[in-house]
Amino acid sequence: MISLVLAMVWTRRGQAVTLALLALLAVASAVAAPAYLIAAERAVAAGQIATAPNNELSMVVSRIADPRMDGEAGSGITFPDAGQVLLDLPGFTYHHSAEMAAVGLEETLDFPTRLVFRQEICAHVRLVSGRCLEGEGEVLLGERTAQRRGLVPGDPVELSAAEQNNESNPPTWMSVTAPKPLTVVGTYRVADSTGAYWGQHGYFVSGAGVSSGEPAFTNAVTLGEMERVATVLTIDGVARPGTIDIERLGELRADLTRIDGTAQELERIQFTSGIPRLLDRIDEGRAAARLLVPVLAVPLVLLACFTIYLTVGYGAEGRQSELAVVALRGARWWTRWWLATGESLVAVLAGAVAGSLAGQLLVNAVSAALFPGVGAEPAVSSLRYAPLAAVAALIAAVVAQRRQLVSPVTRLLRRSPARDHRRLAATEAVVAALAVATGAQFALAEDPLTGAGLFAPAFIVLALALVAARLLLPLVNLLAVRALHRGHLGLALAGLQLSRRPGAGRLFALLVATAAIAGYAVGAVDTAAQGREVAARLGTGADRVVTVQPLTRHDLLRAVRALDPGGTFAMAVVRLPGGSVSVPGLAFDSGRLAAVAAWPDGATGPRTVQRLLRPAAAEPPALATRDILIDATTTTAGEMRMVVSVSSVAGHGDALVEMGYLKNGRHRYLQRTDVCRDGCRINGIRFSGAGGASTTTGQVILHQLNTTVPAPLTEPARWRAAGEGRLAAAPDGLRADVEVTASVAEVVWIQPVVTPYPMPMAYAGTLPADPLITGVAPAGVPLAGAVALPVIPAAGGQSALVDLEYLDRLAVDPKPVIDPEVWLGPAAPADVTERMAAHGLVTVVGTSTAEVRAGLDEQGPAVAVWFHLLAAVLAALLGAGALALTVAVDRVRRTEDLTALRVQGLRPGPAGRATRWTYPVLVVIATAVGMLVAALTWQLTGWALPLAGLNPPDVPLPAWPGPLPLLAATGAVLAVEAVVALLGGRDLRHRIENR
Amino acid sequence: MRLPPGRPPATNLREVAGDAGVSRDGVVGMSDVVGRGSVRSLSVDGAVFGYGEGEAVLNDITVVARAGEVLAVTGTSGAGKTTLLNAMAGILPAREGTVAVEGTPLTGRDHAVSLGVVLIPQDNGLAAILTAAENVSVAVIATGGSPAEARRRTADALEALGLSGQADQLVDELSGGQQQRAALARGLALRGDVVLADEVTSELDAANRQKVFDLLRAEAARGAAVVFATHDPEAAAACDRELHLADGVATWPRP
Repeated sequence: MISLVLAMVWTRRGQAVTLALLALLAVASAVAAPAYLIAAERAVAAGQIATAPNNELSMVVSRIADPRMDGEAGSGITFPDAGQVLLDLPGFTYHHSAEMAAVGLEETLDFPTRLVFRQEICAHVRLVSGRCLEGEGEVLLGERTAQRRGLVPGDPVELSAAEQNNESNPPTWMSVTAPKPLTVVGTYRVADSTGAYWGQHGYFVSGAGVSSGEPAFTNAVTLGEMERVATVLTIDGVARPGTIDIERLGELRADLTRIDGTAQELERIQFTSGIPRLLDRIDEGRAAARLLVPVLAVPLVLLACFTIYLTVGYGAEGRQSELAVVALRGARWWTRWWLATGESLVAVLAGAVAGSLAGQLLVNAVSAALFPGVGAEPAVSSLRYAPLAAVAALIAAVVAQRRQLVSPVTRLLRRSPARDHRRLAATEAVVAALAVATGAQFALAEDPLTGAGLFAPAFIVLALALVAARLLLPLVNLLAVRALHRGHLGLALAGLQLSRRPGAGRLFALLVATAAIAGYAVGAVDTAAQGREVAARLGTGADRVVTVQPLTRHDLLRAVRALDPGGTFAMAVVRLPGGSVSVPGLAFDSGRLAAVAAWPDGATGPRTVQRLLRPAAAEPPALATRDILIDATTTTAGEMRMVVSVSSVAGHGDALVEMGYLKNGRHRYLQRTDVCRDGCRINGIRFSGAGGASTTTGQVILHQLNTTVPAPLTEPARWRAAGEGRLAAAPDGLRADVEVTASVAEVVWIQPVVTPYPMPMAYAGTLPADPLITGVAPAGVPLAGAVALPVIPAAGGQSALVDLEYLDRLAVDPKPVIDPEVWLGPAAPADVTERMAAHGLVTVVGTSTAEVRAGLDEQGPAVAVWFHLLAAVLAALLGAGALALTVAVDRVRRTEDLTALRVQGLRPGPAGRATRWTYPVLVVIATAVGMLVAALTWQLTGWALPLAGLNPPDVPLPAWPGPLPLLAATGAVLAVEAVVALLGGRDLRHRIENR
Repeated sequence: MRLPPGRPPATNLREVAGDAGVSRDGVVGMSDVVGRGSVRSLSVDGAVFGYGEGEAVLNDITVVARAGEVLAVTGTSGAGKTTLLNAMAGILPAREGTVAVEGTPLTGRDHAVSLGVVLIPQDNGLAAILTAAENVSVAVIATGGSPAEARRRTADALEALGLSGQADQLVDELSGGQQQRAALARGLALRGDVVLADEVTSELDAANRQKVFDLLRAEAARGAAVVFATHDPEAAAACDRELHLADGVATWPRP
């Protein structure tokens, strides 16, 4: 009996090979999904490790030692032994450091000098002058600090330990020990302040009231000999390349947990590490991958089983006459069963075994291409679904032949089986019910892609494909009959073959599902890629975004404009303060938006936005000389002071110029300030009380300012008062009735109106009720919505955008802003960092769209979604395989039919068209419908796919794939299947003509 | 024949197609070439037939099927009746000798079709994906009939064979007898000058056999040369002449 079955296999070896290949694809799909997942998890880990910042590759054990409290005054630096014990992990480089706050070097007491001992310091800085530290009492100073303080190697300095004086407001630093004489032996410059060596200490962060950004480095012996107060002792462990390896992530996490637990038991020892954050992110990425891969693995395996079901069914129909003969001879049921199914089962089994291997090999190849160097790590666990897929394939094969197994002989003898409409409708109803049920679970569940919801895309595709087949095939039949009635024989015969062949609906549904899965998969890949691009572009804001050391808005604007006078590549950007009252967002030098900023698609253009944000406004009153002269008449019973806020237009800074106490009567007030030596603008004039907290009321009439253009003092509408002040026109000037105290909060500012007020803003999201920017001008700056944008680049979907220059004109007490940014566009020159430094723009940290994009590309969703492309290829191959087998099975009957018609006079022309176009037309229609099904399925389920990164920025990400990738997918599926169809048609034609 | 006066008969398919005009589907309008009532005979002269390189099945066959009469071809199963009819239909070329319609040697089946040679094959030659009516219509249109003419002739032929009720049934939904009658209906609807009927009554009951025979007789009366292959002596006896095939050789029990 076995030899008989093998003989059957050999006789129809073409069909057997095709069926084996389909089973191979089915099992390969089932193996590929977990195998890919394993590879993806490795790639996710490798990518995250490769792109992790230094603080996520290091750990720190620290202890604060205060000799006064510890009773160790005068003793040397002693690092915590426990730390040494704790940090026994192999693969880390350890650096010891000690740090103490000191004063004596800087003029200001607003911040201390960080006096730091750091192991192997000279290997990590560039000595600009002098030499490295050698003996006790030596110190290395930063290049800018030395320049500022006029120190050169060999100069003495005195430093003493310092503590914060909380009684002053704002707090200052004060010396608490005797000064220690030190010698400057060299000056340094840091080549790479972000290098791993520097750990998480932020040595080079500067800021007003924070730090100079240049620690004074010394050696351990010097620090040890100094009279110290609180000293931070740390041991930094920096992972060497290869230490945080994908092979031992679990082990590493366990080690870190152990160290953390031990450190908590020890007094005064702190253990911190960013490595767990990295490990968490890897876990999150892997979790996303575990959601994304099965989304298409499930439909792929279902599609494979459907394909086997269909093709085995066709094969069985093709040899139905043989089976009828077997049944006619009264063979026993098992003989009949074996002869009916054996041929298919042998092929499916052979394909399943090969598929197990092929799936892993396929993933190995794909992994090698996509994740070079990561490796796919073949694992037995990849094969865990292989038996299930094989069994599913076998069941599909047996179920497909149920009719041949149980039908009476009379039915088997018919060439065209009677259509079992009820059974077909029941099957479709079951699939539709499953689609609805899983779809409902998908839509309603908190995690759509878990449980039954995971099957939703698969069943929706299948159900829609079946519905499409049910709707379209009668239409094709109708068109074919009409073509016949019109005498178009070629078209009619092709159409009738499509619509009437046994199982035509299932074949059509299969090809639709094939195209739909390919389309859905490519759609997911493209939407994800677009999303990453948008997230990187709009999340970053520009090609490169560089945070520079704090500057005033005015200085930032001036420096960036000097850097890029043409406005072609650089733009000054400042973050709005935000908070509970103030709107969050950004202030841009809006004239450069178009050249520099990433801009959301479909939004109002940047040039239009710039026009809306910067309507024409009067120029600020300007002074041409150092002298500020104000002619004013004062009437007050109390004491009032006048201060003028000025900003240099030549980069000499800003100043609040004290004009002195106001005297009753008309007087001229004159002050001189260097800030205005090359010209400056007047930001505002402040009136305040003096002495105690009592309220002073008075009237001041400003008659004249020595501005370059006469100030419009007789036009009160061109001035604005903030605080308890009212402006009115006086016969020869501006009258201000004010009520002030000595408190800084109860002053009156009179400012020229040199901006639109309220300030126009572009906004994304909901327009706030009374939008304000606080902390910039004497009073909150009211904003008015000028234009809505889908998103403000780098600020998100609920934020505002204003013009930086106009915002700056409103400021009266300019202070350096935190984290000012310079955005650089695509036209930025290669040496822009050096040019920035030359203009006083000192880089603190920078990022770029490309870096962000590369980081996103390494994350779990991006890595996992490539499986969809693999699935698309497998789906197209399944469709092509099914079509090939169908063509092979149909060949006998179609040859008979068309030969018979040829004998009856059908000419070669129409016969050729009937053979040539039947399957290509089927493929074209099915692919087109498949893409529509893909679109509908995407509409229903695409929103839930975790395609964005792990922490996507607040920007609207594309929800739909672009047309080109979908057209490419359509073309690819069409091409693969059309080749099969055309070859099949050509072969058929040869057979007919050669008979 | 409706060939233009003064021109020799077409000798190949291209010539015939050129004369007859080609429809949108490229079919040769047989009815344009061979009108109703035209008189043609089919002659086989000293022909030898066989398949491939094998031994000849029929040797030195000479027979003329004349217009207006029914020629019976008899013989036991395997005697070569189907071979002879296939050769007369242009499907099987003669190794030696000629097969000609009105003196025009046949070059192939397409040529034979263009000369009005209709074959009703033993296996019915029906396309399974088509209904009974469509099988007839396709053949009529393929041989040059207009769609309207095809519908009319199809309806007439099916009615003549008692198949009006089964016109829209797929071939596989018909019984063997119905299929045979559908094939006959198609043959009659084509209104050929030469009608080759191969065992067309084998699956019919007596009444239907008589009806079929009457219809074949009517075809002859219309002017067609009818060749009727059968192993039924009674049916053969009802024919005008009888050619008997045995051991590859033809004899004339009733010349």
